[in-house]
Amino acid sequence: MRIFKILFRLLKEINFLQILPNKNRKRENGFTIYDLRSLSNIGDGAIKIIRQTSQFSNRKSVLPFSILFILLFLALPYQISKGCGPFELKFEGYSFLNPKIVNTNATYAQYFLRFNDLIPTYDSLQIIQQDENIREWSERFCKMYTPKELKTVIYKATANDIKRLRNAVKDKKATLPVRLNGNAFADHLRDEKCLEVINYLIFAKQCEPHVVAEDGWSTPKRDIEAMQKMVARGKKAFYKTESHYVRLRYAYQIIRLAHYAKGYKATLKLHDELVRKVHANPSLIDYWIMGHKAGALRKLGRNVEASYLYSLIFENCPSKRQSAFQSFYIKNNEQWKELMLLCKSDKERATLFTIRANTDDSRAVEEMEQIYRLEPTNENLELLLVKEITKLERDLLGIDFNDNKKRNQRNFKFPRKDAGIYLTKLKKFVKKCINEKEVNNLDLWKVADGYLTFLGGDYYEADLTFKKIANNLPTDKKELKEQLEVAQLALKIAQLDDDLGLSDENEIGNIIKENPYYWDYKDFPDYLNDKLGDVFLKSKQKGKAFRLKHPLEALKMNPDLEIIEDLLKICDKDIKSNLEEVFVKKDGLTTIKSDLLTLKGIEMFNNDKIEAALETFRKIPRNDRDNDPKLNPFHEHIIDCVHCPLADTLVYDRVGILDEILKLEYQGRAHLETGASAFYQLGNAYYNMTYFGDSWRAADMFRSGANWQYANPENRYFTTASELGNIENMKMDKARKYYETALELARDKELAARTCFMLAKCDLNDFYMDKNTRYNPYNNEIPILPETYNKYYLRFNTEFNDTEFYKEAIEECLFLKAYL
Amino acid sequence: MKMNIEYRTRNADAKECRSGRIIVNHRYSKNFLIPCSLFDIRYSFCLFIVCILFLTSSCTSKEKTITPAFYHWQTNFSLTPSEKDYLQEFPIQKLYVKFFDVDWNAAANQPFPMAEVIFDSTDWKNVEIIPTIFITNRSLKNYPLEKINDLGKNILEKIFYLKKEISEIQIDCDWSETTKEKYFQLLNFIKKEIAQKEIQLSATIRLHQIKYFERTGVPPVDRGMLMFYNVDDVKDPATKNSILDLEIAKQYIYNFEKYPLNLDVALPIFSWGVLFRGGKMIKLMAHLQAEDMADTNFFLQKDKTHFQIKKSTYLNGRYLYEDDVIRLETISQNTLVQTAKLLQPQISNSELTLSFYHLDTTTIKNHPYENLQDIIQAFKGD
Repeated sequence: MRIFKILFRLLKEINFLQILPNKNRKRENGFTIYDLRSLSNIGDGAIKIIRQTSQFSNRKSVLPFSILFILLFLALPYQISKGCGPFELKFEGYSFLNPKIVNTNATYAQYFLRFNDLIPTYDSLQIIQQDENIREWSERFCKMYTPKELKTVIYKATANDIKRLRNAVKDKKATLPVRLNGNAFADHLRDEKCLEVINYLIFAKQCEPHVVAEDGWSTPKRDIEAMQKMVARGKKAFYKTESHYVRLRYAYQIIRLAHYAKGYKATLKLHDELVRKVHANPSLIDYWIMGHKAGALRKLGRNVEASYLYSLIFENCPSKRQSAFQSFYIKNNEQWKELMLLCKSDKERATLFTIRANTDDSRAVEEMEQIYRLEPTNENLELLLVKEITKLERDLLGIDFNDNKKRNQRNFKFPRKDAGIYLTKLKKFVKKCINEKEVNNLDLWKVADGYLTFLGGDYYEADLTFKKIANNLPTDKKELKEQLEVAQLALKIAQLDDDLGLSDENEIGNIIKENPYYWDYKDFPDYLNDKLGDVFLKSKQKGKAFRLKHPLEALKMNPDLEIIEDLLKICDKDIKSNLEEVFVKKDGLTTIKSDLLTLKGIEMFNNDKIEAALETFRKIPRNDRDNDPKLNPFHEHIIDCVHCPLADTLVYDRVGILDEILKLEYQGRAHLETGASAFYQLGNAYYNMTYFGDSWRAADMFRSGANWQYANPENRYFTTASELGNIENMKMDKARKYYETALELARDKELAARTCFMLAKCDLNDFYMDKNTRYNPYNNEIPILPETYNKYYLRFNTEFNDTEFYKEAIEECLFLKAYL
Repeated sequence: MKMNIEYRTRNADAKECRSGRIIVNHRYSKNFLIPCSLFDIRYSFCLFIVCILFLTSSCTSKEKTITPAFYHWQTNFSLTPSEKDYLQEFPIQKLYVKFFDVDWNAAANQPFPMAEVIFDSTDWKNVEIIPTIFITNRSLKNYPLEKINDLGKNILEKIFYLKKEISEIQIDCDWSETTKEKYFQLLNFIKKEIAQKEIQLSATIRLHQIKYFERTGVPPVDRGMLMFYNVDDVKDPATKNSILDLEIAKQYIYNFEKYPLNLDVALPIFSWGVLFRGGKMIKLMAHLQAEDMADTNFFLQKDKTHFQIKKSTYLNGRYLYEDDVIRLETISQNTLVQTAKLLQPQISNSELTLSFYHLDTTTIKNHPYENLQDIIQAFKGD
């Protein structure tokens, strides 16, 4: 971000201001004044920008620097810009299901175990199809050739390559094309004179341009006449061919051509004519052909027959499963009944219910009941069970404490309104399966029963169920055992209540430290944090609730006395739970107590409780206090410099500063005639301890230079470290109070001049904080102050222009020079 | 003075003007003698007022010239006999036909045309076909600005491949602030390319894009087609009618007088069912009618627009589960007339196309062309 800001600033320097018309510019006493009144509607105070000509307006000096910077910026890794892109909305919940508990090799496992399934890309489908085809060619040739060799001949070689291969069969002197040189499969076709295969390959490659899917923007160039000629040619070749496997492939090419040529009746006729003349072993090509028949049937309005064929393809042909699922369509109950009548077995009927269960947002328990009725051992039952439980996890798991609950509801409509009712339905079905003992993996159903009881919120019953299963689970069911233990861990965390005792917290600490599932299942840390956060908030343990989600740094950015006190109490405990140890541990040996005391002292000091702050700082062990920053806030600085090295040898830690403040306060009040100096020093101290001074660390533990440009009266700034934000110490009230007293009491004109100048600086800082101010301090431009904030600068110029300090200030302060 | 004018206007006639005086006779009172010059002034004043009134009334009551049209939003352009009759009798001379959608193809990493129209009949030769292209926002969001002109080129090539003679092209895109720059560049490119062929470019405009036009921008096209529908959140179960709820639509009737484009108007005549499952919107069921859910074995009508599924069933190709809820959204003739009356004074251009969305057998059955002609009359300002 910083790079962007600087770059922006530089571009602005060379472009924006320089392109202002001359009428908007004025050069005076070495400064260029840009009058933006005609260009902007911003407040009167910021309509002029004054820049020191010598420093900034020399384009030549800025340009090379800018170019260098832009080049540097371009050389930065690409990742920087990537981070700024749009982000995908993600459901923020928990899941503790282990997919290994079901048969991951089951036909539809890859579809059911994911949400938004059945959406592989076109490319991935092409790859599956090619792989299946190559596998079948390989089997037909007794797996003698590598997939690479087969792929080269079948997919990569052109029709001309294969023609040259055919020439090589006839003429021993003819050479093979380069692409097929050394290809054992091509050699085999040549040596064994496999002319039927070669001729088929040539025909298939000639069909290709007519049948490939139209790609993107290319306009279709299907030549129906040419396609019909190809069909006729193919038929001739089909009847000439002796090999039934090659015939089958011819039949596929011919039927596909007819389908794509939109001859739907012809497609069916060709199918009936050719397929019955092929007596090959079962092949995946059977299903590819079936797909084209189904497509033609659909176009002719024979929807039920088409859907039946699609269901067979869905079940038996992975490469066409995706398209078969998408093409499966039933319009009404009558069509569904007809479809059921077409099925030849209960397995086929079960497949229909499986397809229906896989539609988006299905309530699959209804289909599961039907599948169970038809075929209790159907492998898809378990897959559907896991899929439905995963959905219910989104609805119900951690719903009381998930801190993203509202977001999930807004973006994903989870939990569904009737999730509880649906859970009851599913549970009833699971119970039925357990009682009737006809399903394949009964233990899985028992674990599911316990998990559903847990999701339903009956922790006691779930605990009993889990324990019962654990006692009877066969030792060889490792995945299921792990699933059971994971479910038990999730249950244990969910059961944590508001009065967590030492032993409970110890156990939680042990889980984090020792339980392998806690880290293996990626949702456990979030789940535990959200649950504990909820528990601690309910039991008003703000410190613990805070530490669950935030590092100590977040507290330094935005100190909260209640959190600090709560954490200090933990630090002071003689016996801490494991969890408390984690909360207050700083490094191997020490705690965060000194940091907390520092924060507390600072908070008290900022709330004008100086004595209490002093007492708090004094509680910090000497060793830690020695690490405190050493500062001297009592000196005046004509120009603010936050990070400039201290010229003073006299420096103080926080205790020292507070002691000195109390001393000066006493001096000021006790000796009013000489008090001006004390009050002036107090003003300096309070000024320098703000965001703008070099001693800011005395009254704050974190400062971001970037916040200056966002200065606002609320004083809270965005930070990525904590959603609580960062509070900066920008208020000038206290410094102003002391400076005004000092100015009133000052007998010495030089001191009065200094005080008046510092008050003018207070005004300037208040101007930055004004919500109407549009001034960007990063521009290094000198703002013209509106009247409200210009009182002391004017007074300094009129009343104190004969003082030594005036001369010194004019020399040093460019702002002042510009104003006067 | 006032009284005399009243006499003049109500009862009196100027009889004569002699020697600089005019004699005014009236039926109820004695005659007055009024200086001629004064009468002239009064007469002129009255004449002036009459003229003003005439001119003003002519401004407000002058009929708009309205070209009725339809949208055709299906992939197969094959008109049924009833559709053909309907178009002829109306008569409709203009059809906005969706030629294809442009959507993001993740595999190809570029926007691709989808659902290209198939002209199964040649019946369209009697009506003017306006190619309409729907572009999804994600196509623009994901595609780099520097390639937008290529997209425009592809779109034009595809359009001209499908139809050679064209007088207008319409682009439909619900652009957002993030896609505005790219969308407007695309429109600029297309406009420039087709300008030499004297083809007009129009773009669809949503209501919010008029109300907040200073923020959303004005597309660089020749005309805008105001889509006066889809006014409410279809996903919200509490919505009454997401297609057109006049109370909601009225909240968006702002800035029409400032909007710099001539506007045509598209009105909805379609219906659909919004399927909710567990409080979540699942699917829009096109063309759904109340009579489709008349079987009380499966459907329980909860109120005028809501139907609960009593028993799981197939309906129009969708399997519905027990306890699903369907919100039926239709547009009545009365709503359409009210809409016309609401919009009529807002559209300042005197010539416009009033297009109905969309043409199919179900919608024309529910909206006889005589009804739609009434809407056109209402729009004319009669």
